[in-house]
Amino acid sequence: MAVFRRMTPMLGTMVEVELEGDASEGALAEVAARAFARMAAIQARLSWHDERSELTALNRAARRAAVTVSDDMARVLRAALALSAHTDGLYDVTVAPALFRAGHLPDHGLTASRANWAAIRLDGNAVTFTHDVAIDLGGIAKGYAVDAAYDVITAAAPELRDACVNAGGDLRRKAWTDRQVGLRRPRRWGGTRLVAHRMLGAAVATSAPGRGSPSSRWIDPRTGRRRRGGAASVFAPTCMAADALTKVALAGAATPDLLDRYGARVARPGA
Amino acid sequence: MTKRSDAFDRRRFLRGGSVLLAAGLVWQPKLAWSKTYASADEARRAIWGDKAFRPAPIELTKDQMKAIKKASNVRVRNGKLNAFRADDGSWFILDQVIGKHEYIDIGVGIGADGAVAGVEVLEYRESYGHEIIHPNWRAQFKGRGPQERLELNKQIQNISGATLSCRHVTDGVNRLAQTWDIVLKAV
Repeated sequence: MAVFRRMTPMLGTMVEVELEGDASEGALAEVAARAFARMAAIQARLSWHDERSELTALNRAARRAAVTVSDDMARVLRAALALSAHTDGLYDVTVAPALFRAGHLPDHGLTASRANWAAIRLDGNAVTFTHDVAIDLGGIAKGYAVDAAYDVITAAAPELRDACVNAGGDLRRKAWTDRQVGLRRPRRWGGTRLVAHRMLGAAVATSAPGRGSPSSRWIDPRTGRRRRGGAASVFAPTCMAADALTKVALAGAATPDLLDRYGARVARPGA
Repeated sequence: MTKRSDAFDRRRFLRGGSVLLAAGLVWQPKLAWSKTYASADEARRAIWGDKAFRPAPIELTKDQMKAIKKASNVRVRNGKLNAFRADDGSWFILDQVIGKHEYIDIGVGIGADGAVAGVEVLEYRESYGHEIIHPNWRAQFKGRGPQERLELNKQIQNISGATLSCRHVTDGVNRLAQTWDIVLKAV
């Protein structure tokens, strides 16, 4: 039984791939390399920070005409818009202007009106903006990248005993039952502490805006205000759902109905 | 006579106290999380494949360290560069970045053109002081020595938290990229 681990900076955080199975180390290394390549490709498409990304091109062009986007972009947007609909807009990928106006994101020369997620039209892979909006996938794309890398691994090596993709704490694991995860939570007086928690799903994500990463902010779409403080961890079958639902949980709006819809559970540390 | 025995008692008391204090410090459950990812050779191969490298350790001068700090805006803690060079001018450098709570050993590949070819983590360490909370967790450790407390990874396989920043690593990589520009380019 060989164990292979690799970690490198990516997706704005430290990304780790861990594989365990009856295979040579070289074979595991090859599978891990493919997983990292998949995440690098997704980063090149969905990153706000990269001015040459597909996302930046979409934000510049979709107000004028329909833009045909990649399957990755279409999948993430479809998931984001569905969650916006389920939460009455509490989850919204068009809050970026509040972030770039405050200097937390580069603006790439974009302007935006007060319109929200409802201004995004997605028809197959064709995207149109009915108003001036700018999409930022910061709250969902990392989870999607983890899922995509995980899918690459399970497609290439379905026989592995265990596989884990962990992007700065947004993670998905194959052998997740009876496992403990340490939830890094903010302490009242700064710094973090670790709370041990049983894994309640294959994926888990944590959001603690403003802690550790000074530019990390969460925008409340109801007020358009930046908020910091608080923390939420969500378990779900996929990392994309876990990642996006942490933002809903931060707003205190992760209702049992909504969580059931995604097969998700909010971590209750200390309970 | 009584005075003398008082002094003796006080000394003995203090000695006993300091033993207790030392014991308290040792028994403080200082929790550290660490994971090994790659050996230096594995990291080098992940970046450069089978290309041959020779050790080429570099000792930076005070002026070079100052110039690197100015160019990268990152403090140069170590003037000794654990570097390896290939015949085509490629570099592989072993380095350590130190964050607020993290110690990360990294291997960085820099091409003959100065472009960063890859960054691999060799070992990642993170300390949590005694800030860990889990009712069952404490029960697990009741009556055991401090050694078990240190081995966090045995019980916890992953850590989930939004605060794991790659800033210190990217700072370290920038520092090495400037080191190439100021020193290694001319080697």
